[in-house]
Amino acid sequence: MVRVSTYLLAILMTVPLHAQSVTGRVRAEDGVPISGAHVIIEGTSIGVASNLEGRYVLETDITGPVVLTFSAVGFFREQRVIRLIAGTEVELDVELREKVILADEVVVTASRREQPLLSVPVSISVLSADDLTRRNTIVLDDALRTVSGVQILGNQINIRGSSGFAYNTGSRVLLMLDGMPLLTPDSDGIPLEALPTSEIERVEVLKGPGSALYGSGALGGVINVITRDLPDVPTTTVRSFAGAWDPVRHKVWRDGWKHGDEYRPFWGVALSHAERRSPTFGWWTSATFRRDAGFTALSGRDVFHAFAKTIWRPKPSYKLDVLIGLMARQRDNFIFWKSARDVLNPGRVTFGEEEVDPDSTPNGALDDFVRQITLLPVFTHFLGPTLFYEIKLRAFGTLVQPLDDETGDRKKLSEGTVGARYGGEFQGNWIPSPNRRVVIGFSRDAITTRSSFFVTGDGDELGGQPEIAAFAHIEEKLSKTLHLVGGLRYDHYRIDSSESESSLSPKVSMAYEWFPNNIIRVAWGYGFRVPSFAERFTDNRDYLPIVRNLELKPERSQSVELGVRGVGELGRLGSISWDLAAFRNTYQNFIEPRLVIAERAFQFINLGEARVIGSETQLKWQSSSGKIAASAGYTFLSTEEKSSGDELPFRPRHHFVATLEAAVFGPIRAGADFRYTSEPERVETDFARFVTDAEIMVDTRVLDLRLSTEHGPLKLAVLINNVLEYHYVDRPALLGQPRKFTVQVTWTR
Amino acid sequence: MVLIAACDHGLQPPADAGIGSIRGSITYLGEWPPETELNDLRFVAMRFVPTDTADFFRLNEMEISAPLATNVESGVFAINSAQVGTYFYSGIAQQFEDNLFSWRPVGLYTANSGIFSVSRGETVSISIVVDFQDIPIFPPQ
Repeated sequence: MVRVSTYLLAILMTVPLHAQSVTGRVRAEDGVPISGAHVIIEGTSIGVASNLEGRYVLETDITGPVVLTFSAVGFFREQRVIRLIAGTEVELDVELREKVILADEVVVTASRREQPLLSVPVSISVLSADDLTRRNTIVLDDALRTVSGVQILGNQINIRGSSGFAYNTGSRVLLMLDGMPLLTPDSDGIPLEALPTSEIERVEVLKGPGSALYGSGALGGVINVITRDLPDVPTTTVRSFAGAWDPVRHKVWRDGWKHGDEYRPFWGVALSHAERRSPTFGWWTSATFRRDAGFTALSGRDVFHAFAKTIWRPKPSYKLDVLIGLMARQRDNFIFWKSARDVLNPGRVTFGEEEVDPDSTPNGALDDFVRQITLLPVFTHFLGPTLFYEIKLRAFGTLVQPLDDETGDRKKLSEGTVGARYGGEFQGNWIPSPNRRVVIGFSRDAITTRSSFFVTGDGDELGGQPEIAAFAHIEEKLSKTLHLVGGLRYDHYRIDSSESESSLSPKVSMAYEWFPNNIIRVAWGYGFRVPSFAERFTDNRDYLPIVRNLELKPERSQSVELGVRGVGELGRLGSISWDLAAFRNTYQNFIEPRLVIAERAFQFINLGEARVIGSETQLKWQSSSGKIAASAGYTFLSTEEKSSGDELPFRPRHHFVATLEAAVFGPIRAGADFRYTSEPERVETDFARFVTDAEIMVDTRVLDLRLSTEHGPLKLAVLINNVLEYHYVDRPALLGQPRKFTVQVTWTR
Repeated sequence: MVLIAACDHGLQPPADAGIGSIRGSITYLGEWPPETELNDLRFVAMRFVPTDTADFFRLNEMEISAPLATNVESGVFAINSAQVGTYFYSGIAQQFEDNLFSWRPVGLYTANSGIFSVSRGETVSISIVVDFQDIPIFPPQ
């Protein structure tokens, strides 16, 4: 820091005699001056600190538009764009908003811009980088399981009952990386493995329809993964971990598989480096390899992924960020068990006492080799103090090759899937007055997929589902306590050569600060989702009989939510924050997989109407010393399929998560996560016609423990997941993770 | 509270119902269908009475033999790992087209009202007559 300050001083001393200057005061919202606030010209090393009266004088030889960043400990960062004219002085006073303990998180997903979580008029949960590291998060679903209202079913995500078990096809949750959609072209669930977990700044989980901002796919919610910014000093991190799956508790299960009594190993290593090469250029890169033997037969995998991000600011008013990622994965994908007495072996759906090669892979498992590439460039141009725009391009490609049962060799791509999703987006941001913000934009995306599983209406295996969209989002601060938000999005999708679909998704929300740091919020909005490629076009009988449904219509939803969010001080007992919400989501043309008697096969069909009513309560507490923190979240759901009056299948009524963190002794920290999900009120038994005991579901009750310590650049952590050895099903006919032990060593320089 | 919540350890293996065997003999009467209509021929035993060809999807509630010899006067079949339980509808099924649902019964087990039980470790022996000129009605009345 001393070195940086000296450098800054040296720069300031070289400013020419007739330099331009910016002067002003930095104050808190209540008018109190902030001393020691940093005022920096973005993209340069030029900056000053405010004095005891909050005053600052910044001189520079730069002319033209520049971005000034104001920051201070305990306050949210603010940015202003100004134009510097040679030899003139600009006066600029700034108010910083104070961070409140437990409520200082910032989110971008709610409004496509950075804002304090406390003032957001919708339900959002945030996982920080620290949350991910503490839990040795290798794949994001491990951490998402600890988020209130979020349930993981295989590699599908259910937010507040929006999704059940849908055979890994179609998702009502939109996954985004730095604000850009990341759905795979083949819609094989959510690509959580294609994320740079070591480079994540935070993960935002928007609960409820996000279609008015993000379009189709955001019907049930949005998961936005934000990658980290560059550190002030070059940072290198090496994280390695190793561990083992504990043999399952029951001897009958262990006896069914030759490795059932063994500890099954897993290990991995992640390298990352980040640095600012110059005031205008910086980058980070990461590479991760992991190998997992798997706790069942045919569930092992090798995964390698590498990511890099460059940040270039050729001029203070221009910014270009480019994120590129590569992933290669060879896996045995365990699809369904043999029976509840033989859960460690994949089942085999056969017709009669057929001659079966015992060495061949049962169709309850699917081996494949997958490669994925991600390219996300973003260009930002600041046109003035109140106007800037972003141009975002995105490309996501995937190649899936099945593996030969006998040789293990990769089969031809023609027997697998080749897909690409690509497109771009323009977003303009305008602040016409201090109390008003406007975001407008449009986007164009396309999906191209060739798969032996898909048969389109054109009779061609090459499918495309191009889409265009336009959106507008307006925020108005009607008074110091009342904040109104409105939005509208129009989407147009081409289904095939003869059919297209359009949708208009409005939303209105309001946040009222009825008491300092206490917000009442109301949100109403429409959501919609175009059927995924897999739901509409899958036509295959290799595993289960599934037929395409060319008549499948988009599903639509309407959501109403009322919530309160706030923080409070408990004196010597510390601080507490709360978030309570009641919500009602109704769906039309709800898409679910069903065994359709007339088709003699499974098919994705429109069910008619469905509704999900529920409530969610989240509490966080932190001791006054900051050494102990705890959080808990409880979600209650009541669902109904209108036509039958039945509950929606695979939705739990109760979902509870709790976390405890404590500094127990010196640098030693301990933590625990507990999650409970009640057995679904209704289980769809069609799957059980083919797969023995697939109708069996139980409660999920999992306790994870961890212990860590830090010594200089080294950090050592020991984790035990599912410490009580509780067995459950992750989804029908798939055993959930048994107990596992992990040792993690992290070195940071 | 957490310890109590998880002390039952959740999912457990269900009790083993066990398996038995089904063996049988078949007598064929009348003229065999043409080869083009003989895609497959098997013995099928169901633990329910079907009402529609869609019930062929209830694979976990039925036992199916290996393919049977065709164009013969008599034959035998054996299922060595049949689930223990009572079977209510059993017989010889012919697949007449290359389609999972293009099956029809051509001869039923009729003794004891068509019902038999398989016990753990035991073998049940049955006999069936197939008359291609007088095949059963499906679904059963």
